[in-house]
Amino acid sequence: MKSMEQRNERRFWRYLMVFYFYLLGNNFIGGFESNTQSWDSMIVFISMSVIILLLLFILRFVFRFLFKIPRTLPATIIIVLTISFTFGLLYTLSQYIFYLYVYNIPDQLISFLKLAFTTGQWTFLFFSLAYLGINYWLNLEVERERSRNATNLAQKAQLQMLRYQLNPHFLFNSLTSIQALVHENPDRADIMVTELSDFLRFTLQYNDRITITVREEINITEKYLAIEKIRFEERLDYSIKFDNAILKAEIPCFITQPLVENAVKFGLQKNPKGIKIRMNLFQSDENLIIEVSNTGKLIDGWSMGIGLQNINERLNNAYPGDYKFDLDEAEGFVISRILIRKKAAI
Amino acid sequence: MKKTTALLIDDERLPRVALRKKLEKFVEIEVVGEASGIDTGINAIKELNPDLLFLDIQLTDGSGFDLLEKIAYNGKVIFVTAYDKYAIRAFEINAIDYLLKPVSQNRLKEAIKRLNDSEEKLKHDKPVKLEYDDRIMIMVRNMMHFIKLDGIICINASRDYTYLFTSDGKKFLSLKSMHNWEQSLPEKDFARIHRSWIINFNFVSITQKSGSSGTVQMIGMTEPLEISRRYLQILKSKYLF
Repeated sequence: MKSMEQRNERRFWRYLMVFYFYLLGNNFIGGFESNTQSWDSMIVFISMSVIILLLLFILRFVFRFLFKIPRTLPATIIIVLTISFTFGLLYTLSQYIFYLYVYNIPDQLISFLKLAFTTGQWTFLFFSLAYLGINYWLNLEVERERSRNATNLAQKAQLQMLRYQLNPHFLFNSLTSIQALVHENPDRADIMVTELSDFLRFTLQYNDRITITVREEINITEKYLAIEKIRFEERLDYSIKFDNAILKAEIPCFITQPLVENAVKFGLQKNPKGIKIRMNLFQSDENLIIEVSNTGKLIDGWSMGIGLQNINERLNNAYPGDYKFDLDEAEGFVISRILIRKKAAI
Repeated sequence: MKKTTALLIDDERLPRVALRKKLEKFVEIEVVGEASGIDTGINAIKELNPDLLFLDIQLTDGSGFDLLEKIAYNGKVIFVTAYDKYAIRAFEINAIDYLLKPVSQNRLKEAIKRLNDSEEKLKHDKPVKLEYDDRIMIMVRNMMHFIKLDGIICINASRDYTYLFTSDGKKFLSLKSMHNWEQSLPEKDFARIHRSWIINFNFVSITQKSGSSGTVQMIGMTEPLEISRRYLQILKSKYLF
């Protein structure tokens, strides 16, 4: 976003300079017509151009300072008029001083002050309006791009979520387990069909939700792990612990799904004989913490997985600056931890 | 009649149970063993020397392809997978097939029948149409290699055989002729540019025309390849509008 604003800053000055030279050119040609070209008037012309430029820079800063404060339309009009007049006055005064020194003729101050209400004021009013117009237009563009980005991210997150819900590996492997259990253990096959149906029903139910409660997330994960338990049999052991106080907090839908999937996948890769998975959801100080751990060691594949990058992106989208997501290793467990500041979550 | 001996390799127990149950219906197949990973699988192959492997692609400690590239196995292979972007096609030798989990009895029957078809019959069959997302098997000195079509840069004729150049910098000898390749490769992505060259459009870096012929520089190849006059004409009529 910052770079966009910097780009706009440059663009703004470019536009302003175009205006400036346009006016300058007009003035210069005007001077030719009135046949007043001389070395002295050339000096005055150049000096006055420099003064106008200087005043414009100051004007810019004044505007930037003033317009950081929220304001109403009448206030804006009054501010613009007052500033235009003040700058017009400054301009004519400096012009008066110049004439006094260069031509050495004490012209009448009153007639210069009259100029302040006409030429001076109009010039700066013109600049003020140009400033407001350009700024408005550039801001509109920044806003537009911002909302485009936000929509894109939301859509991407939604798609990611769908991919996790309808993970073909998970679905077809579960069905294959059922195929075997039908012969070997019909009761277990029966349970597996129910668990898988529940899981699918959950995903359909939450399909159009951006966030769900911690309780709902736990329910889905519980179903998911129950299915994987039937699939991997004694090779998978799992437990879910949670703090009752956080059950109503809202979190991005399915945010822990890739963590649990990874824990099972990478855990078994390193320990094909069997692993333990632990999920722990609790609060500490002002933070909501979700931990998913599996027995094993942290390996490179873990930190680079696309699934984890997506979690980071989704968290960043939902709680910019108010979350932490990291991987850790402790007491023979690989721990992935999501920390969300509570004020952001509730 | 001698039975076909089969070994089942899958890291999960239940899919093996499901497959064993299905194979009971085939009297000509005898399941002689099971394995759950690459190492145990390689040991079982050495020990049992089975005629046929049912091999899961996603094993916990690697892929089924990794397993086959670690051992000289010259039996037949039926891959079994829950889901894979790349379909595996029997192309060069009629030694492989590809089943999706959960496995259906009918499709299994078809796969077993197909593996038993003779090489001769395969030759007379109409050419296999490959898709860009396919994986084909190449036998190199008794070792099976699995090559993704989207990783083939170009194909070079060498007498009756051909060489494949792949994006990982490798070169494989294939028993297929240029004509065979031309008939099977997807036209959208591959084209013949010379008597002895077929290229993958997705790896083209720069083309240069000189008179009625030209050259093309491929990404991943050091020397530019020649486009002959005859094939330039064909290319134009086919792809230019």
